[in-house]
Amino acid sequence: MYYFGTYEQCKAYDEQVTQQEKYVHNDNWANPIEIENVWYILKHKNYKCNLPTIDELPKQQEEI
Amino acid sequence: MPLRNRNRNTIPNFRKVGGSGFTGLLDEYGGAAAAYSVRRLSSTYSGSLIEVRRSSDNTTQDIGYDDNGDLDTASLLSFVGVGDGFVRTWYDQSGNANDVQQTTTSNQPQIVSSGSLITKNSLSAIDFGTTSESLSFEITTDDFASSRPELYTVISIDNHDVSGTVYFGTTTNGLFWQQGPTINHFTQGGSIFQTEVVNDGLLRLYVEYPDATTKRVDINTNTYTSTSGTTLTASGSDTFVLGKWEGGTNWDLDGTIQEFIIYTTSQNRLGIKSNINSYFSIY
Repeated sequence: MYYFGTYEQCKAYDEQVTQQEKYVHNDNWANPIEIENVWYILKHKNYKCNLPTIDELPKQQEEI
Repeated sequence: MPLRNRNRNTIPNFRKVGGSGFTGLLDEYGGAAAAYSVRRLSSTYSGSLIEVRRSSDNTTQDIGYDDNGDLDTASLLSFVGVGDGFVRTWYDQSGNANDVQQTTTSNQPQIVSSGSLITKNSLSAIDFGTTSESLSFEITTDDFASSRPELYTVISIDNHDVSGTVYFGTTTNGLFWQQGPTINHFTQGGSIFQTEVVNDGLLRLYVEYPDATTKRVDINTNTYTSTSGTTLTASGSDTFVLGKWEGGTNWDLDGTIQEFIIYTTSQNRLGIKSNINSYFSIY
């Protein structure tokens, strides 16, 4: 499941999880992903925020 | 718990570790630009094979090899406990320090699930999951001086992503290797038609060895070639990614990798393939 919102909102969620989980080596939880001008971030099972959720990222055929 | 039911000492090209007695793949076929595996590959390599993060407290620990040269699964399972274990670093055994790493924890591939080792053909396997799991490293053109790399990958694919499966690519400089849902295989810009269905979860050995005019891939004992497409080359410093293509969101590898070796020059492919197949029992 993913939260979605602005980049800043998604990044704030990452920082919240990262701080709480106390990852070593300055690792972080997840990186915001942009798809068609919307930012998404993977939800951690133990941490909630007020952003809306979506089960899966929008999928579309891509060309390399 | 025994992970394998066969006698390691009967396997060709592999001898018991113990000082000077050990001979690994890289001892017989040296010169790799990068080499990652769940087994020890060289008698001159004495470092760890992987760095693992455990889910219970997010601490990490290096895991080496046992007396047989296999990944030290006893230490791995003891460290991880009943939770999950994720690969943070897959160490390069070539001596070139091209370690691949993932510092975003949700993107780290998995090697232990709920206290049990993830395996393929009874050997430890690194599971790249269904989303964005990947490991990456930065290289320079010196690492690919020939711009004609020869790649050996022990891989299984469970499902293709929406756009296809990329198991080794760059972030910005186009794609080096992919397996697409239309069963086309792309090697350095060349499209190779091959008829095998490979998203069945079975273990396979891919060998990519393009030259200036011909793209080539061996999938186990079958060889596929093509002269179509423009040959891509490495340029400047670039980040190479194992397990996905960074340029899109629908190209992730859903499967496992157990060994990945890059050479920059043409090799004794039959010898290397035999060594790999003897260890992993692929075909």
